Amino acid sequence: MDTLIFRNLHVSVDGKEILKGVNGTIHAGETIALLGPNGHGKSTLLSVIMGNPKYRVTDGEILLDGKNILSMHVDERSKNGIFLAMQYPSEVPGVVNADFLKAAMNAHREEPIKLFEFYKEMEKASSKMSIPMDMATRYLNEGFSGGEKKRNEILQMMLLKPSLAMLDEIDSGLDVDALTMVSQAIEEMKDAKRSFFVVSHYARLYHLIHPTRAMVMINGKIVLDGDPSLIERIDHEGYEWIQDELGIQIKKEEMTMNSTSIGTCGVKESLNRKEEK
Amino acid sequence: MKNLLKDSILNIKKEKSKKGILFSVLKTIDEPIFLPSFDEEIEILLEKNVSLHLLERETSEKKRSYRLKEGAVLHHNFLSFCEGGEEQREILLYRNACWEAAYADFSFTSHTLNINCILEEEGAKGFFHLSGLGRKETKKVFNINFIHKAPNTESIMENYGVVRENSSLSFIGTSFIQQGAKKSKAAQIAKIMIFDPKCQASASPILKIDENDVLASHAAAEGKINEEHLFYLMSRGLKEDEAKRLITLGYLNPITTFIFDDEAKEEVRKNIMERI
Repeated sequence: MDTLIFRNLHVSVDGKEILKGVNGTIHAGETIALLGPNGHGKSTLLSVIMGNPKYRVTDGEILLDGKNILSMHVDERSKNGIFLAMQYPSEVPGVVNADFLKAAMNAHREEPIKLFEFYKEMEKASSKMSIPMDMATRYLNEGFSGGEKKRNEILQMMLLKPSLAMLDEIDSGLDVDALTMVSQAIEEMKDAKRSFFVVSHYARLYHLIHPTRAMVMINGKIVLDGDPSLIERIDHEGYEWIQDELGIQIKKEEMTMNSTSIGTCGVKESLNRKEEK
Repeated sequence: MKNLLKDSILNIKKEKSKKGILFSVLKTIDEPIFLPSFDEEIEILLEKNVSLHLLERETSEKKRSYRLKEGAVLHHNFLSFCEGGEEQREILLYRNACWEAAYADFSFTSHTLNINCILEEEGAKGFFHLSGLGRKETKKVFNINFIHKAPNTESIMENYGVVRENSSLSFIGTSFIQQGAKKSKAAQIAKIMIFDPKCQASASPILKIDENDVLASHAAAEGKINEEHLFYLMSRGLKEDEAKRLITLGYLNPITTFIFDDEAKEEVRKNIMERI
């Protein structure tokens, strides 16, 4: 990947607009910190770049080396080098971790990986992430602790070797040792052709992975795009100064109640008909 | 694997009964035994503290019953890949007896299975695991009942299914804890994954409880493939079809954990792979 450009990106979920004209560019070899208050669209931006169908892009474009990826399926984006380490990785019951990893690696290759080679690579990555090999035979993320899930995300990144790795709060749920381990893995993977786009609320991770640039997202827009000194200032002063200096009113995160349903217990029945459009 | 009907097996006594044939298992048999389809009713009696691994491959329209005396254990596998019809099974469990059953149904024919498992005496345990697939025009009904008659009895039922095309799949599970069956436990899970617009699914895990001092739970879920799971797998490069296939395999494959014979286990895996 040479560049990824998102231009005038407007995104809605369930009819509510989350991203309101996001602009930005990621160049090859950069490590970009994406900061911002909770609920202002950071994770949405990463999910939209990955292609999560939950989000509806109402306007704008995302260009990967000049090619609009919005029409690409999620798997095609992955094959084009985009990777998202998720904030809340899904637990997929019944899908064995090793089977999934092998299928994922094969998806990025012309020829299927040989079993010996696969185990060698997996063993190397597992050992680096201190993931016991028996986790390979467990179901994907099922019963994993928060830290294990995050380390498993990084293990996948190491095996798939993406050109753009987006890491969404990869440091949440990690203890100090695991954080060091994850940041070392990121540092070791850095090269002139690979970029990292990293969301975190804490300067501690950024101190370990040395971002080359920082972006700040507020109210669904990137309002600041500058050098890494932004991270220190936000770490010390929070976001209030942006409100004062740029004259932006920072919207408070909305606290909503989950919808409640009352119905008969334990009985499910459906005659599956075509949904009315 | 020895055939219960054809081979003479040490420590299994065969005799004619009023209804059909009675097999009495007198001592623990280490190797798995195969019971094929047969035109007469069959009754199997496990004597006190005896253990048996029994594999049934084809469906049998004749009623089959199983009596497990005190401390007896029956590891029971049913594999259905081709035959259809209506089956009737009755299991009677005495003190501390244990029935552990796994049913893998990947046949392309319509099928009804009725099972009554009676936990007659204290400490009896019954476990039933089902993995079923509905394809084409088939109609499959699984009617599984556990009746707790004594204290400290336990039953667990886990029914997983996948429906495709014009098929229908119905799980009706009943856990009935009768008065006096204090400190009994009953749990049911019924899940069906729906693939196509015209297929039908019904999951009804029913609890009937006539005793206060018990633990009971039930859960049912049916619906399309989980979109978040699909996104997660596709975000690692798997094509949609491949991701769906892996998720579906993951839904049905865990039944193999309960298949005790390696050859049968492999056959179940192969059938799941080929038929989903």
